[in-house]
Amino acid sequence: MTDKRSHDNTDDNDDDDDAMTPIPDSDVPAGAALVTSKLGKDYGDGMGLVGLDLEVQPGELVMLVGPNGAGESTFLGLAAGLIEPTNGAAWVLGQKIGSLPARAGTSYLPDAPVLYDDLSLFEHIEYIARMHATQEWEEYADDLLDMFNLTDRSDDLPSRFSRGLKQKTALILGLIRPFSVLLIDEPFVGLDTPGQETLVEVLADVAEQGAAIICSTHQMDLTPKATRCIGLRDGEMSYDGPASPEKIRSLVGG
Amino acid sequence: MLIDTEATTGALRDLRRARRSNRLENIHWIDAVYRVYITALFGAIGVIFLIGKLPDDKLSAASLDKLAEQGPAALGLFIAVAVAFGLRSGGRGGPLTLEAPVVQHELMAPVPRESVVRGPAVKQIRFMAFCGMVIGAIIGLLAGRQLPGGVVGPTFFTALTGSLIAILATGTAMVTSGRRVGWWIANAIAAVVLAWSVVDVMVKVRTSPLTWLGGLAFWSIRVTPVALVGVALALTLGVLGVLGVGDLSIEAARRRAGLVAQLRFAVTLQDMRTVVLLRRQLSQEKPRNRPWFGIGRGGRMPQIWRRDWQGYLRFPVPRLLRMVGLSIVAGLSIGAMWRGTTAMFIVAGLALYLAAYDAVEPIAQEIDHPSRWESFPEDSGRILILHLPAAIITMVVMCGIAAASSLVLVPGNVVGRLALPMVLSVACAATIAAAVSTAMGAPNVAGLLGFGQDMLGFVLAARLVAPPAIVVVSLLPLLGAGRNADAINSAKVSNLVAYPFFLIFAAGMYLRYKKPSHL
Repeated sequence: MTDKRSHDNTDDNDDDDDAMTPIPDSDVPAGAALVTSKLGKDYGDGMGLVGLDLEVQPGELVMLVGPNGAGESTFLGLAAGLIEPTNGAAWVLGQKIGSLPARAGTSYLPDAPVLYDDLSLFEHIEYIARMHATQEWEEYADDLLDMFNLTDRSDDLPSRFSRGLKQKTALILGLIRPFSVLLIDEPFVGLDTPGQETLVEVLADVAEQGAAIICSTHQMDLTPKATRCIGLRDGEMSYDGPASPEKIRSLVGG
Repeated sequence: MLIDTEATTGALRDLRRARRSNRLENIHWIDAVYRVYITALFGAIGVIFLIGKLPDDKLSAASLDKLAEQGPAALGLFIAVAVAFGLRSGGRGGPLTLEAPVVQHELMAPVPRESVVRGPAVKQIRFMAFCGMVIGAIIGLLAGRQLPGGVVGPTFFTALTGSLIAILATGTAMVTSGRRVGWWIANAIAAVVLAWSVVDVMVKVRTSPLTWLGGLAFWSIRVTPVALVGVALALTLGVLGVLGVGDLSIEAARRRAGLVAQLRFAVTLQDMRTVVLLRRQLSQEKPRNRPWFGIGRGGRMPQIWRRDWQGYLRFPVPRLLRMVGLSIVAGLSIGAMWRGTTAMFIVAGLALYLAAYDAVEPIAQEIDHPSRWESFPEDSGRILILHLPAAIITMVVMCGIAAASSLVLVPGNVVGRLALPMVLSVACAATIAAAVSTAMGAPNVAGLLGFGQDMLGFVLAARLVAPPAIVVVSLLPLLGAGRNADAINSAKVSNLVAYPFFLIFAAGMYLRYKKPSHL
């Protein structure tokens, strides 16, 4: 993303080379936000994902769907670098997943919110924004808190929030820092209707700004905004094409 | 595009500072001081109790010479076991237990990973070194009473050695984890390390660096300069571990983060069954896909009996080794008890209790699946009781292994005369104790509040202590055997064995008529 939350441009500090990590070029398809090649995960007692080849371009909003256990969470974890592939590889903006530059460009939200017990909501936002070298995050933080109706709770501990409020907190944390690829696992779970509507709008807006979004969900409200749908079944890709409610229903239930 | 890692690392430092400050603000200092006081008080009582149980005659010159000669190798073997545990833990992504938010937000941020994990690694190695020092100091304090020259020297050197053993084991685990050494390779190295120390013990030589390190503990008796090589090894591995752990597996760190959080919660709740299950998940201990051998289908074998043995036949190697290992520990502890360290029967009882936790796995499986349970026509207590025979037979085998192990320290004729009356009662006690503990589940604290705040702590402690106490009590008849190997009073032991059976019967009734709290 190239908005006001972009990474610190450190041109002023060019002399301090040791503290800078340059992002090198790569041989993977140029311009793609996320590329996977024969990406697979064998858990030992079953395949989580079987040799997935995929290319996602900037600005795409991809719905990832499939029946339970189809491999959506495994794929998202692999793409985020939290799960290690047993075969194949993946790149974010040409950088090997898990590398420091790839981590800088990838925002991942797991299906269950992961929050510190001892930090307030605002402290969460501040330190996560700063750990991603985000510039001018304060104004955007206020906007996000306002959008998700959490302005009055910013000094509270999210660990004491309800499931829905925790989910909103996790979404804010995923959005506050700059990213080129946003990976979200079941983000609508626990959200109230206004929260769901806000999320759909935010995701569409983020994609419009140039980020690639891969969202594992069965929420039909996202379908009109989605530019692509990928179906998974038994760890293999079963569909790659436009998203429609009928198609999603058949991919999940059929 | 460049990432300013100095700024991101600075943010990480600020985050940790904020967390520390928030935590300190929320500490209830009076509670914390009270807990430290209680822990210190009970610790001191325990040490004084143990001192009272140990013989305080000074060792003869010949015994001292033998101790200085053979002690380092024996301690070296113990160190090898600790290192083997470290290798095993590192091969599975341990020993670092990061919090889930640390993995999710810090390890996934554009911050050099060594900056993220170095702090927790130093904290963990420091804590382990402290624990090792305390344990070493207690051992030195206890052993020093039998050594010439007072307790200060032995206490200092055993505390130092304990601390270094902890640093060595933790550092080894961190190096293994940071280097991403595979599980099989780590185990193979552990086997070599163990075998080397076993050779030192058997052949009575000092070739292993772990034996050299063990020599440090005996410096109050005899100074062996080669121990400094062991010291250097321990410190080097500690430093290398902290420096190299940044390359740890994120997947393992994430898995451990989730499981350790649950494990701590289960321990807080005193839910021992959940602790056992989470511990197995943490070490990725899964049942075998195929049984060791088939027992066929059909026939007249009762269904519950058949299911029990089908379960045992799928036990993985680590679980079987753990049961055998605990039985050997029990046997050696009984041997030490025979040799005069009476309090070791408590260790023996605890070891058999832990072994029985695996033996009652079929019962635990029933309790873990309440929906399946509710579909059975039989009442719950009867099903639990019907599971017991297979578990008791398994524990009889384990008690047999314990008896055989005790031969290392106890004359054969003594073991022969006492094993027969004791094995069945101890096996029954261990089985029923583990089954009761499993069936009890977590305490209903809200319900127990009716006892009043003051009594609640005692009730919770009693729930925790009662099951292992059954096993410990079942070993008490051994004390009636006397100390003369040529005049063992096996008749008295046989008579005393009747008393633990009252306890076993009472526990069996509890199991039969008290519905498990999970249901």
